[in-house]
Amino acid sequence: MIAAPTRAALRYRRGQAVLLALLSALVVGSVAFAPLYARSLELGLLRGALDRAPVAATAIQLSPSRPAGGAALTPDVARQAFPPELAGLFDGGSELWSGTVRVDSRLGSATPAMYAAREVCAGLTVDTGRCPVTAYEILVSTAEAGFQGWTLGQVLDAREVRPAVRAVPAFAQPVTIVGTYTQVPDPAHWLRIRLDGRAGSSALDPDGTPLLDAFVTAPATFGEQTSDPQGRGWRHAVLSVIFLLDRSTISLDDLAQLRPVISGAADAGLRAQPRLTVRSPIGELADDVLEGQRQVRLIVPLLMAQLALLAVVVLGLVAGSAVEQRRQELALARLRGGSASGAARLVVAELGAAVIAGAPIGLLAALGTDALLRRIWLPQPLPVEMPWLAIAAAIVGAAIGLGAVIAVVRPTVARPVSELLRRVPARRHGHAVALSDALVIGVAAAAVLALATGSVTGPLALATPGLLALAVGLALAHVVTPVAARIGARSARRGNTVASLAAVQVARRPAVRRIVAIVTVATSLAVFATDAALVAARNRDVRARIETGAVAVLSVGTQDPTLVVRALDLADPDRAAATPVAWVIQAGAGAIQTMAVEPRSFARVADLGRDREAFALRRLDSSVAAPSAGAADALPAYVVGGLPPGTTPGMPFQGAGLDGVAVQFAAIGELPYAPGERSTNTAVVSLPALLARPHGTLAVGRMQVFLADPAAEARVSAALQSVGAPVTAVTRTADLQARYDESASAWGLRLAVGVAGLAVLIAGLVLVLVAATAWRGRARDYAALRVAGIPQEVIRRASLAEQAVVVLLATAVGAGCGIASAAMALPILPLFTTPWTALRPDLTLDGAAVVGTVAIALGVLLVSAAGVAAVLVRRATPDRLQEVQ
Amino acid sequence: MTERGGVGVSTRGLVHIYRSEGHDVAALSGVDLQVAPGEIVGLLGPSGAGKSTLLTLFGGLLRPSAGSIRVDGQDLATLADADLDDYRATQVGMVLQGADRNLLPFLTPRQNVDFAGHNARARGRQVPEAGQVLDVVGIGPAADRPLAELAPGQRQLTALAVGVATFPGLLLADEPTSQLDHAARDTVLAAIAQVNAQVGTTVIVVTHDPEVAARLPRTVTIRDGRVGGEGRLGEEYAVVSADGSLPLPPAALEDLAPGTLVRVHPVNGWWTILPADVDVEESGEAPYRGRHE
Repeated sequence: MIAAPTRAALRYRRGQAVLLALLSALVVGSVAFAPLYARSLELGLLRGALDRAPVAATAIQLSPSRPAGGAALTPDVARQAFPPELAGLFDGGSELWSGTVRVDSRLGSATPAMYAAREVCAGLTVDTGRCPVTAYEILVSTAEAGFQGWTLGQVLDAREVRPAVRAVPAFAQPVTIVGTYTQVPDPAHWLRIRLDGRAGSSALDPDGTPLLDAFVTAPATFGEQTSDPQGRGWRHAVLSVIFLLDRSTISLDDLAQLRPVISGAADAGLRAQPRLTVRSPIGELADDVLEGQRQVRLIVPLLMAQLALLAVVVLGLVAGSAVEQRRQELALARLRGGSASGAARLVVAELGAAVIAGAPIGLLAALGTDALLRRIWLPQPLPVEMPWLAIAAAIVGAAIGLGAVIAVVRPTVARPVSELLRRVPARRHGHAVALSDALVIGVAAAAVLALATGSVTGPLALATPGLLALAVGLALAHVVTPVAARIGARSARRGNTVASLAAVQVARRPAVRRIVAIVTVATSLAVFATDAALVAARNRDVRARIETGAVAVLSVGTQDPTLVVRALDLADPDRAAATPVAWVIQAGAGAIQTMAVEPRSFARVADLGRDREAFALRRLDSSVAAPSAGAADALPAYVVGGLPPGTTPGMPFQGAGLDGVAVQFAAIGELPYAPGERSTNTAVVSLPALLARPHGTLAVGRMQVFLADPAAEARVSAALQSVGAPVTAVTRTADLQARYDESASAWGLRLAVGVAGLAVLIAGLVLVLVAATAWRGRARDYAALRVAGIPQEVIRRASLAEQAVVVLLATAVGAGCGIASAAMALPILPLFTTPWTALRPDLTLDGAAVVGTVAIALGVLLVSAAGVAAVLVRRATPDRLQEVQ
Repeated sequence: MTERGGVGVSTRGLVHIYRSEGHDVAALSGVDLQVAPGEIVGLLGPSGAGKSTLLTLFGGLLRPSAGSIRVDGQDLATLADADLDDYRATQVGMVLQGADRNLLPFLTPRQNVDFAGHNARARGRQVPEAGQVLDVVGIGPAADRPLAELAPGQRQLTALAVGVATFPGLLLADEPTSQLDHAARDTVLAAIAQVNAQVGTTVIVVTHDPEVAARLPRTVTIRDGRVGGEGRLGEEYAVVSADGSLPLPPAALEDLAPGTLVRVHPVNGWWTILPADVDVEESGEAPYRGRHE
């Protein structure tokens, strides 16, 4: 409990106690907020990643091989092999059967796939008829039924494709069409399997057979299995048991174990009998989130530590001033026989009570701020967790605040009683830098050097502006007072009263050193944070645009580029808003993929980032490259990612044509990146040139339409649908931008701007506080000047100049530190969770943002300074001189 | 050592040197002083003479540069810091110049006196009730009023009460009547006398006020860091120092400037001081003589 004299003291200096409590709250809040918000960001990263990820990206697929001895393939093997550690995170698994059958079609014998899932018609719209129920009932796609002329009830002769066997018996029961379907883009079913979209296509598979849409049947169809090459039933049916992630239960802690557990299961599956194939892309998602988590755990504490440190310095400043005001009380306690430690306890009890009282306020403020930022910045919903770590951090913060109070009390109580009794404290002379300041400058400078030379990298770069400004600001602070003294003396000799008064006041106030250092640090933080946030946003925007390729990119369900070209001729004959892009992927390590484009429309429509000129692609208009050694008919190509190994400029190299067959390309230039493609190893060639060459069945791996105008999406999609090449997916730059905006770096830099803003406000508060704790003495000084005949206007201008010059100087130096920090730190600060190798980030300083930030900071600080100056002058009345000191 | 009542104070060759802005200042240059237990003594002298330094030394707040200072037989110069804390807690009370400097503004008179006696109580000493102390100095009725409501004289009495909170053997008061009107001054002086009479406390008071000095039974003038003279019951006396020096009164110094050669002659059982150029037999009546008592 608080003793009576302490309670009386707190009531007597209520305002000071409240101020100390609020500053303590700021310290505690900053310290407690760090683990709270870091955890929120980690949860946000997980939530965002899960929200964005398609179902297939978070599923685990187990595919058993046929057991030895002719036993039937069953899903039990897969279910039993599912890692028990993950049982609570995934569902019970659903079976997906697949096989290939041969049927007669309008275009000849065709080999459509046949699929059966547990929920037969989930993810499908049954346009006519009904869902298959019994074995050998099938759905065919509505488009295919129309093209082939198939009707409900029609029986098709379907036999499993067994390539090694020429004469194969038919199924015991032919398949009966019981309905027609259209696949809906439902990510929860069929994962990435495209069932329809081929109907009416003249494309052929590599064997030369026409491509048909898949048949959908009931699982019972795959009930008959055989290992006899000539037996009844399925011999080559494939079973996959797909386990879907329960996105509402997985936690960050679960994420860390996913990759190693799945890898372990995959290894075990390879050694098992029968063999079990385990596939899952969730490891990539987990790695991304965990990398973001690692960055968050550095970024947030680093930022909040700087704010907490600033708050501790201000708390120390106010506490120091409070202790000086209590010098007389300390003297009396010592005078009446109290020891130094006893006297210290007296003051610490009073000030410490205020600091402790601020702790719960700080904790509540941290909780409230975290809740608010969660709601406005982070994906929803996020689980609510008990803030044990924040409570522990709050206790640490309170201890830090108490420590700051004790640290400023001890030097005062250690002074001799006779010195404490002096009305005017003894002034220390000389300009030697205090040992503690020298130590801080040294440590800060060493840390900046480590960052500048690359000895330290990563999110630690965020400490650069604070450290650099601390070193420079403290050093500047110790230069200001002697320089001001000289300027004051010189101005007085020249009769410049305003300058002389202002300079002398600056020289004789010890608090000026702290003000200079604090304003320098605050401005440096503000300038750096604003520039870093905008530079990062700029680069996120560029990366999103380049990696998407255009404002919107339509993925088209066809392997025949001529269909897409035909559709665009209908919807956009001038190619003002749309351009086709065909991708042909080659197998093998180091193989180059082909990106075939219409050069002129591509250069107009695609989003080319800042290297527009490089993508003019003019030389692709020629269908034949300039003759070079051994490559008279090589197709000109721009290369991304450098030439293939063993190839020199001018030498032809092997690429893939639209039919997958090898084509000679000749490199005529390099591009920094391929729009719409993350990987390198790409050859960009002319689509018309490739189509003009002799080719086999067109079978591109990926067919896209890039759109420059979102308004064109509807008509282009309709045209594509009309030619039998429906749109299967749409990717937008805005979506990718949103994803990059939901990253540890983006959130961290947003927080940095908030922290910097608070730092500037704290600096303004310091100006007011310093004046508030010493206003009587300064008002008496001004009153004495008035009595001596100095006009009030002169005193007013001198008072304003005294405040403003310090603010202007420190702000200018702080801005310089912020700019220098940006140059040093931005190259090593991670702007993305996953590295961006296609392009070097553009780290050019955002001049307008820097100027704006400095203007705002100056505005806040000069308003505080002007207010302080006005109040001091107003209170400098002659009767002030008669006050009892 | 007395439990209650006054204690004796003596100094011999007391020297104190301050270091200020790189050079030394001798505040006291050899003070020899004796104060008997229960005596009331006023310290007079011009500003900078060393009065406050002497008081501070008596209070155990400074250590002398040379010489000895004994309070109740204890040589303060040899006490450890913890013992000085004990001394200040139990044996001596100080009243600083300016009443407000002695008081915690957020406490009442009663609470201030309690605060002043806290350390003595913690050391097991029998400390009078705060009300009793306030009654002795004459401010009992205002014991529980806020300090801001008290008149200047009442605040000075409160400061005095704080100084005698433990009924110490020695009370040191620095200008206890400064900035008070005549009535308040008289009240404070009466209170000091009351404390001396009732408790027996030895009192040493620093004052500039000749009217206050006139009311004190004994005054000691400090001049240039040494005892320059004494006053008892209105009479001024020069005091022969332990080293045999005799500080002359200011009026004598007008005729005998420093450096003047004088002869000291015994004449009819008296000692006479004559300038060197004055013949003793021719002078007839000696201009100065010190009366042997």
